[in-house]
Amino acid sequence: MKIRLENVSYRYTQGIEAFSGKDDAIRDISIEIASGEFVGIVGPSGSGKTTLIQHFNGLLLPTSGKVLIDGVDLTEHKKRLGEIRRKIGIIFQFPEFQFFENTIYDEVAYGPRNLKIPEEVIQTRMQEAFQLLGLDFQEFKDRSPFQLSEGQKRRVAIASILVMEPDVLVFDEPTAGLDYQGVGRLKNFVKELRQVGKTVILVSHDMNFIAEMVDRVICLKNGQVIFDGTKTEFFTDTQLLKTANLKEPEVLRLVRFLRGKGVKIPFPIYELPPLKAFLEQLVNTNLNKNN
Amino acid sequence: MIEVSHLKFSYPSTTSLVLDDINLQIRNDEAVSIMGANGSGKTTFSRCLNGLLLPTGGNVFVDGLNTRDKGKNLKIRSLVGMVFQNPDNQIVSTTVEREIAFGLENLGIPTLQMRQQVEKILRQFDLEKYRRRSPHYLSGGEKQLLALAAIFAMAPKYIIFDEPTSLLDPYLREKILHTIFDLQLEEGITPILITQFPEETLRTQRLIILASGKVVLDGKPAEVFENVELLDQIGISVPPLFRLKSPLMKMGLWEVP
Repeated sequence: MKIRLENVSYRYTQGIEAFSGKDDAIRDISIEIASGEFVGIVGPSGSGKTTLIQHFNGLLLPTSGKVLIDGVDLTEHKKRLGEIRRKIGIIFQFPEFQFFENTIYDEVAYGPRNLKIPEEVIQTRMQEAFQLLGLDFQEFKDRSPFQLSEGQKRRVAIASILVMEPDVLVFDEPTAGLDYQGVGRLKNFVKELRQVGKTVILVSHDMNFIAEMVDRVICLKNGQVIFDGTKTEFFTDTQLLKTANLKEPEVLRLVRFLRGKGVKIPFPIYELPPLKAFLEQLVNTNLNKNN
Repeated sequence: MIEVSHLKFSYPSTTSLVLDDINLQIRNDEAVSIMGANGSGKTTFSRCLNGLLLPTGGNVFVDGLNTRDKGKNLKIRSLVGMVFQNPDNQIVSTTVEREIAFGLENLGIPTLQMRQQVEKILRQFDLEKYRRRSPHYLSGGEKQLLALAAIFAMAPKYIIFDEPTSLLDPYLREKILHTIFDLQLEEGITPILITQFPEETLRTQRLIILASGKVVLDGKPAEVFENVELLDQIGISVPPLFRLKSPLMKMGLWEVP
């Protein structure tokens, strides 16, 4: 599923006058995201990231410009929006605000039931989704979605998107409020999505998470794209990071620090285990040499 | 000083203890951070500190006032401010400046003084350009900034920050942390920071680790992070640097952050 934006601008027009003024929330954005890509969308708070991703499945339609999904212009084919929203699922910040059913089963089944998908198909999909997310189906299906921990709520929200069998998953700040284990579980889950060929778009301020998960970074500032390229191009451009109010990923920072100290480490490294393994090997080699 | 003595807590109609015999003191001259996995009791604990929740057993004293004392309820809540993780739970007003004024009105601050305080806070938090905007049209990060500003406006003596930076970009996060620690220095407000970001705790003097409702570690952050294995077991994030300590020491490159 290919997402293509051509010169997209969006201006909020509802609500109070002061806000619907002169500013475009996003302005003149042209990007293309191909099937199977892993993309991070980053930028300062208020730079238009959430507004941008709502264009990917027609939750917002552009004030000017075009959004094409597999070549279909969303503004001209509003009847196809339902179908496109099933294919491109967005998991928002604090998804639990959208919960309203009494049991987790009913909550997750809500979307597919509306599509008249047979109940046994829903159940199979749900069991698969729960397994992928590390939730015990029997234990959780009859519980209330409101009595869950932060991490569990997030996973139930993801499950309710997964049962729609989307091609593209868009996550808005998925690590916010999750603890260490929760983030670890999320990382494993996102890696699984790569195995099954899904397209993944991650909006996050957590540069450690972005650096480990994606191949490509799109950076917004004041509603415009100021960078679109590989993560290595992005994270090695310190001036750009500063302009975007962002920080170097912690592991990359350590690698640069050690290189500055004269340690010969390959560059770049984004994850801790390979860095640790490299340092330990270095220490062992030196020990052997000294013996 | 906040004094927590044999604090136990369980939610109504349950038997399991969310907090299990917590004893500690938080002094006025320290900045404290608290870490714990989801479900470790840290949010329940923080709500016991300002009397939003009352102990099932034991006591909590804020500057000598027992949170069980109903008559002292308002006083305790004005002493211990609280900034929540999700700003939508906290924001009630129709414009940014009204949101900041809201708490001050409730405290009965005279109008002129209130206006001055609102102006000061708008400047301090760089929110002047949004003053007449509806909070609902702010981004997630901007809302969090506003929620912080509204609590700061009431000038409490202690402020509990329940993961206040989780939605902020790193620059704003830095700005908020600066504001928090400046307040400690300049206005004597004691910050109590609940966070998932281990690097943030390195800026405080003391880090308390909660697991299953108990205090398992309590000390200088750089010392607490020495316990990598224990922290891994209870699901607490450790700054990557501490995981490299052993090879770095052997290479003569280890420095305590």
